[in-house]
Parts: sequence; structure tokens; C-alpha cells
Amino acid sequence: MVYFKRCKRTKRKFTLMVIVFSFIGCNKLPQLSDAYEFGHSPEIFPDYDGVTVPYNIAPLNFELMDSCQALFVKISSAKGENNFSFRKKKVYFPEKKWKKILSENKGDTVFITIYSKKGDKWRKYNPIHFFVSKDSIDRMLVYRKIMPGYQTWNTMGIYERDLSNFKEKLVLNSEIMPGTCMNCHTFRNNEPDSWLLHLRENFGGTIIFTNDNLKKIQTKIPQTFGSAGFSYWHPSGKYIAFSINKITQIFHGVGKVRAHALDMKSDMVIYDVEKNSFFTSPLINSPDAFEAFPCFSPNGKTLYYVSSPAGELPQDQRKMKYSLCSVSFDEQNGIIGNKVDTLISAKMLNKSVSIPRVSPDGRFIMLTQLDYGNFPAYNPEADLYLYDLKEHKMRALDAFNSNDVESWHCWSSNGRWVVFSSRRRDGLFMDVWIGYIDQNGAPRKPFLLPQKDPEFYDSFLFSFNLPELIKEPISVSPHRIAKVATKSKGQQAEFDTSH
Amino acid sequence: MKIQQNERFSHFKKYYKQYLLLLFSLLVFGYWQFGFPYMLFFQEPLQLFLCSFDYFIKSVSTAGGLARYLGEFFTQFYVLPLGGPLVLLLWLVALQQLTWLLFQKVSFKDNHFYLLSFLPSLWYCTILSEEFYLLSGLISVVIAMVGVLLYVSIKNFKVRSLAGILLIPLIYFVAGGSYILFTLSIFVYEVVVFRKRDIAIRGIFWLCLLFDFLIAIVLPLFYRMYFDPVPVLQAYITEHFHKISTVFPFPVVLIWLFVPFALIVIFWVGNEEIKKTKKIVLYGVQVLLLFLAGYGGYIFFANPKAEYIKKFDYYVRHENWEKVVSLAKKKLPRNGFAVNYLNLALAKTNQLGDRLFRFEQMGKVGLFLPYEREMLSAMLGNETYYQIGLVNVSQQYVFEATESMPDLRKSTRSLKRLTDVAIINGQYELANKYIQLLKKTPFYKNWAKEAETYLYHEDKINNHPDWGEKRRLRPLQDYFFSVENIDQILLALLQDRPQHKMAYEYLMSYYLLNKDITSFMEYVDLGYNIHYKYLPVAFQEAVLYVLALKSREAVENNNFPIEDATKDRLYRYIAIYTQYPNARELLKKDFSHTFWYYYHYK
Repeated sequence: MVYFKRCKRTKRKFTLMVIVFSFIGCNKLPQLSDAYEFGHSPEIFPDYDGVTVPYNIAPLNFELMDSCQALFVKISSAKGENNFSFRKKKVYFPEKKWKKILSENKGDTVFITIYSKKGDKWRKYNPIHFFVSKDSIDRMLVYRKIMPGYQTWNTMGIYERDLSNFKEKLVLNSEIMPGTCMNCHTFRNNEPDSWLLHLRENFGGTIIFTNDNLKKIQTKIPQTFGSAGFSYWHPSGKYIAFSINKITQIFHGVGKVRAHALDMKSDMVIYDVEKNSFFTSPLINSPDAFEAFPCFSPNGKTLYYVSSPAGELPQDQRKMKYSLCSVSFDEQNGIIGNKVDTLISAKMLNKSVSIPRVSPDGRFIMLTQLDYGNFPAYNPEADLYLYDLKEHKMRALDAFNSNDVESWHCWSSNGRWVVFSSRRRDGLFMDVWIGYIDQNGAPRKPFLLPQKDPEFYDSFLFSFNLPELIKEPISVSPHRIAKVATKSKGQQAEFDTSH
Repeated sequence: MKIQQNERFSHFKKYYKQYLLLLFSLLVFGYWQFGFPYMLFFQEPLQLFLCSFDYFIKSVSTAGGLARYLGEFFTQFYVLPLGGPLVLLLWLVALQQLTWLLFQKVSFKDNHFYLLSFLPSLWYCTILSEEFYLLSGLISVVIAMVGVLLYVSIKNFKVRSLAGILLIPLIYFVAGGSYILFTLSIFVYEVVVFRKRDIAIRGIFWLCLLFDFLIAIVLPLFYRMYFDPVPVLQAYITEHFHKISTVFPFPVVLIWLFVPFALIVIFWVGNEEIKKTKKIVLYGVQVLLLFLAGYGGYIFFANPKAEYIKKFDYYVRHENWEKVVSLAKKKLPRNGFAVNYLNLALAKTNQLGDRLFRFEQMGKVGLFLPYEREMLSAMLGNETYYQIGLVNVSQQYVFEATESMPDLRKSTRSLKRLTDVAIINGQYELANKYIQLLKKTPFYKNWAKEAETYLYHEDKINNHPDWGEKRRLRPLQDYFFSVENIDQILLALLQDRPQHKMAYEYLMSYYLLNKDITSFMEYVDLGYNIHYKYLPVAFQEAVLYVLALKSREAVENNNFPIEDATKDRLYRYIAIYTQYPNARELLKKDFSHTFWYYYHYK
């Protein structure tokens, strides 16, 4: 009798489980054979149709832009098929399953077929596809989140995002250091072992992390007109090139471009990390020219930067056009060469170029081309270009560009991926885009940084600034950075005239 | 007669608590409804409460997050005419009732401290008169009080000890800093009340209390280390009491200390037999404390002047310009914001040029507020730029206001204005972003849904009473904005829109308030494009003043559209001004509202 009762109870439990799973599981194929065929591709956000993705990217969750009650998504490739069901119109791929799909399809195309349910009817869209690259992307992406504003800011923070999932970790923010502006985080060769960031206003200074040591320095020296600004690490980690900029903003009264940042004056210096001293050369520190955005070649023997003849601002704003220049650099003795080469002449081009970044193989320089100035963030015409150091030719990266700003690009350590900022979605907020570029410098359609919730970007009121790729997470805690930043004023950097 | 009196007295004795509660409720309701309603109307749109599951999870995932969430939820109702006072009444009465219940727990049911139970509520009522103190702080205290009551209701010591260990982290995560009130109160309860009643428990007693305290001390450190890396003090206090998270909310801390202190007093005094004279003293002290809390709190926290300016702001936001002018007629605070709003209302009702000097002016600040790197000047200042058609400047001010919000949060007020500007400028993707957010707010979703129907519909926008008007008023040629060069910007705007009456009157008023007669005379002719029958009175006065400096003939034979009455007034003014050494006093009565008087004496 007891046995029968138990059996009955087990049976009841089983029935209940079947009912529950029939609601939750939903991976069973619904009746799709008679689904109405639209005959066109679905409109989804973010747009992942035709993009190339690294095999270690987080799930490309998306939202169907058409209204529907339920979705059935079929992921198919030469390796097999996976089915997913979702209530309403948002697609969230399970992370484990997603990882498996990508690792099985390295170097292959994956198709996504979407069925949407409206009323009792299922409707089928033409499949969309993406290509899974065999080349991985560096695991972490570091960026600053700040609301696009004018002069004031209150909440900002530097965060690192694990690109293989949706985890985001704080590096430093204005909650932990109220009233402090933090910016310009840069890393040596995509490594988290050597990096720096600037702090302004409260507890101002530059935080440098190298050899597992965190220090704060003061970079304003009598020989320069301001503190160190935009930076680039020498591949050896012994030096950091800085531009010193005097920046001001102007605000437009008409039109969609609300502001411009003007570099009223700029020079360049090189910082010796061990000696805590700066040195420079009249070639990169000339009163007759504005030099900015330094960048070392991967072998450390050349320093690239942009330069424009000095002008009176803001009246000369549109006349300020920057050329791409280079000068040799002797790493052993810390000596800047005595001859400047102009690789791209702004005069010839009648445009300006900015933010040069050399590919890890040393063959290309990716840069932003804009009509004038050197801050592309507010120039809608700013586009990404590639300068081939072998053929000495420049070409537009059309696949990456849009009608709005593209700038602040960063190569991955293997040189196959580029992350860059773009205001293309709404003209105001900067988003991070990830694009593939092959060994010949040919770009493929980029994709928006994936977020767990496909609706994330609808309500996110911050811009992603300065995306930088690094191989591993930063090992220093926010508290440690804040402690170093707040406990002391920082070591005063010196100026070394012996170079 | 005596029997009737006795009956009344016994009736009052029986129901005095209800009467006192009613009186308190009426006081609280009246205080907010008639004393400071506009502060509540002002506060409400300075938050962005989203009715979504994500927002709920995000909110409650911080220490004190539930209190904050509830605070924001209830603050939404401030938008309704009686909403704010009723919400505050609800929570203040809840605090009083919980305090009374707690007092009863440590003494007998009908003890003599009912009056004292109003003290935290009364004090908090006045604290909230300062706009930076948040409703979530009050809710946090209420939650902590519920926790204390729950704790003291448990009779079994072991169960209670366990509850204490669980409730401290729970209240910390739910209510934030008020967990200090909870911890101190249960400590007082155990040491003073419980130990006095039952002294048999010794070792385990102290161990439990020590453990409670350890949790209370370590918990915020643990929280900041692993959850939210806030500064140490902020981890303990949490940010839900004051809009500026780094401000130490001392007035609230007084309540955290008052409750445990009151428990000690009530336990020691309340359980003794009290003689009639002592009773009078006891009640007298309570009344005195209530008076001090109420009056002192009012003096410390309430700001009737700010309330009046918020009244201006309320009517400006609702575009009730006539009301703004009538308010200014009654009383115009000597304050840049109020004068700025008044001038805007005068312009919107076509009276700026006529009645500019009818009111006390404050120079150019009264026309255009400079951005002072704080929220108020930017948020309030944007209104003039928006109404005049300088929508990009309005957008800039709203951005600055958003970034200067003391609580570092976004607001519906700024999102609405940013939506306006994005739609006017044809940035529909951007407008849609703001609209999608506003659609998640219960009280602004209808506005957002309506705005959504305008996106990408140029004709519909052009016919919209506000957006269409601003499209017709905004400048066509670009300029670099600086409030210092606002006259140049208005001149450029008038070049683009020669019939822009508001821009013309603002420009002329700007020159007059700056006493820049040369520029005024240089550009006063721009008024011909507006086809005035007569120039606005203040402008007539200024023109006549300049002409009078030349000759009487110049006054008489000028080609400006000027009324004879103005000329007559000028002659009368000149007669007094030139003949009497005490002309200032003599002219004050009849001419203080003229440009001439402003020019000479202000």
C-alpha cells in the first residue's frame, strides 16, 4: 500500500515536471513546417548580419525589431544545428552553449534562422549569418564611461569588460574618488602589467603601474606649459611618450554638432619611467608647431605623431590641419632623432589626420582623418584610415566607417581586431565597435560591443571612451589605486637636459 | 454642567491619542500643502524613477537600495496636487506609530510618553523641508524601526539573538545607514531592558551582543570591499539620506541616537509610579521638546524664500506666464532666478519692453543666467534660452544641469528638455533614446508616447505649438556660445529672424540693464522689422533720454514711434532731476519704474 502511494506521488511529481519543463524548456521544435516565409532578412538590433566575430566573444544577444509573441531561433552551420526558444522578441543565448557553438565553428560561417510567432502563426525570415574567425580577440576591454556633456561631469569611471562574457569590473570611478576626473588610460602592448591613467582636479596626478609597483607622479614641470596628456608606452616599458595639450571647448549654437575641443597649444615630451624624468627635442617640442598624439612603432625605433603649424585659436580652427610625422628613437640611450619625416602631408591631403596607432606587425598605421583639428570626437566627418608603411599609401576603412564620428581606435595584440568608438547610432553617445582586419589591411563589417540585454543601449546614458584592449584583467584593485592617489601628492617628475 | 465637563474630560482622556494624531496629521498635511508645496513639485522631476524590473534589481542591489527605491517610488506622487503632502503624512505617521509601539514595548501600554513618540516624525518633517534631504531617508528609518519592533517582540532570547544576527545585515542591505539605529536600539533593549528583567543569562548574553556589534562594524567594510567600493564613511551611512552622498546627515543621526536614548529614559522613568506634579513636569518637558524640534527644525531647514522661487519655477515649467507676473507683482525676491523668470514671463506675455522697469531689476543676470557649475543656474537658466529659440544653448545648460545633479542621477526634467531639443534639431534617434526611458516612468509615459508619434514627421513637428515655434525661432547661422557675448548672439539671431520680437526685446533690455546706451541706440532701429505701433515704453524712455541730451527739438522732432505721454513724463522727470538736490527721493514715487530712474540711481 505504502509502495503504491509512493508510486502515485512519484507519478504526480513526474507529471508536474513534464508540465513545468514543457513551459520552461521550450527547446522543442514548434510546428514550423507551415510557417509563412517573409522572403527577407529580419531586422535585428544590434545588427550582426554579415559580421565577423572572434571565437571567444560573448553571446551576440539581439532583439527582433518586428513585434512578436515568441521567437524560435535556429543556429546552423556545417557542424550541426542548435535550437532556441524565447518568449517575446529578445534573444539571450546561454553562455556555455554559445561558447561551444563558436569553438566548433572556428573559421566557418554560422547561420541564424529566426521564426517569429504572431497570433497562432509562425513566420520565417531569411537566414542571417556571421563568420567566426580563428583569430581570438584580447580578453579584456578597458574603457571609460562618462555622460557626454560640456564642461561638467559628476559620474565617470574606468571599467574593464571581459569580452568572452558580460562581466564588467571597476578599475576606478568617481564614487570611490569623488570629484576626481580620470582619463587617458594606456597600456604597454596590450599588457596589463604596465599602464597609466591621469587624475585631474581632486587628487590630481598621473598613476603609473609598472613592475607590480603603483606610483603617482606630478608631471607639470617648469619647462612645459601643462601636465602630461595623451600618452603611448614604448614597447620596452622604459619610456612613455606624452603630448602636453592646452585644450579648450567651444559650443556651437546651431546644428547637430554641439561642441568642439580645440588644442590651443601642444608639445611632446618623453618620460623615463625609471628616472622619473622628462626629456624632449626641439623637433617635437617646437613653438612653431603643435605636436600631439605620440605613438611608438612596435620595435620601438620610431616615434610617430601628428603635427600642425601653430595657429591662433579659435579663429584659425578650420585651418589647423595635422600631418603624420615620424622621428627615430634610440631606446638604449633615450635619444630622439634629428630628422622629422612627414609621412602624410596635411597640405597635400587638405585634411587633417590624428591618433596614429601602428599595427603590432608594424606594417600599418591606423589613424583618423578629419577636415580640421586633431580631436575627432566632435567631427562627424572623422573616419578611420589605414596608412600602409610598406606601400606608403593611405586608404579609407570603409567597412568600419559611417556618417558620424569614428575615432579612438586600438589594435588587438595579434593585429587582427580593432576596437574603436563611434557615434553612428544617434550622433551623441560614443559606442564601442569591434572589427576584423586581415593581414592585408582589409576590414570586415564591425559589430557593436555585445551586451547581455539587447535593449541595453536604449537606455544607457553614458559614452564609452577610449576603448583599449588588454590580454588579461588588471591585477590592481580600485582601493589600491585610490589609496596611492589620495595618500600622497605624488613624486614630482624632473626635466632631464642631458638627452 | 460639571457632569458634562467630566464627560468631556473623560472622553478626551479616552481618545486623546487619536486627537493628538489627528492634530499632528493636520499639521503635517497643512505644512506641506500650504507651506511648502512647490518644493515638492520641484523635487519630483529631479529624479528618474523607472518602472522596470531591471531598475528595481539595480536599485535594490546596493546597501539601502530598497529604501532608495521606495523613496523614489513615493516621490513620483509629488507630481499630483495632494500627492506630496499625503505621501509625507503617510510615512511620518508610520514613524510616529512605530515609535509609540516601541515605547510601549519597553514600558507599560498606557505610559506617559505618547507625546514624545511624535518627536522623530516632527523632526523629520522639518528636516525634509531642506530639499537635499530625501524621502528615502525617512523610509530607511521606518524600516529600521519595524526591525527593532520585530526584534523586541521576540520573547525567546535565543531566537531573538539569532534574529539580531540576521536582521542587522538585512536592515543594512534594505535600509542602509539606519541599521545603526537598529543596532543601537537592540543593544539598549538587551542591556537596559532585558538584562534588568532577567539577569540570569550571562556569558552567552554578552557574546551575542558582541557578535551583533562585530557584524555591524564589519558589514559596511565587507560591503565596500566586495560590492560597492564607496568611501568608508559612505559605506556606513549610505547615500540615501542626503542628495550629496558625501554630506554627513547629522540631523538624521540625531534620530538614530534619539530612539535608543528614549528607550533608556522611558524604561527607567516610565515603569515607576508617577505623582501628579511629576506628571505635569513630564508632559511639560515633552511639549517643550516637541516645540524645540518643530520650531528649531523649521528655523534650521525651512527656506520660505526658496519656496517662493520654486513657485515661480513651477509656473514657468507649466508655462503659466500670467501667474508668474502676478506673483512678481505681489512679491519679487531679490534673487537672480526669480527676476530671470519674471523677465521671461514678461517677454512671453509681450510686456518685457513695456514693463521691464516696473520691477526691481538685477542687471543682465536677470535676463540670462550664467552657468555657475551647479545644478540650479543651469536647470533654471535653460528655460530662457529655450523659449528664445537658442535651443542648443538650452541643451548645453541641461547637460550641465544633469552633470551637476547633487545626487549624481538623471532627471525626468532634463530628459524631457533634451527630448524637446533633439526633436527640434531633427535628431530623432537621440530623441528616441530619451523617449524610451521616459516611457518607463509612470507619470511621463503618456508625454513620451505622444512625443514618439512626432519622430520623423517633419510637418507634424512644424505644426506643434512648442517644437514648431522653436524651429521658427532658432538661429540659422552658427555661433560659438558664451554668455558674455549674448548680445552678439542675439544680433545674429535677429539677422536670421528679423521679426523675432522676443530676441529683439531681450537684446534691447540687455543693453538697457547694462546702461549701454550707445549699443542700444545703434540697434534700436531693428525694432522696425517688428512693426510696433509704438516702441515698448522702456525703449521709448531710453530713446528720449538720448535725444534729450542733444536738445528739446531732437525730442520733439524724432522719427521714432514714441507716444506723447512718454515725452510729457520725460519733461516732468527732467524738471525735477535738474532742479532739486533731493531729486532721487522726489522722483522715487512717480518715476522709479522708468528707465531714467534706473539709469541715474540704480
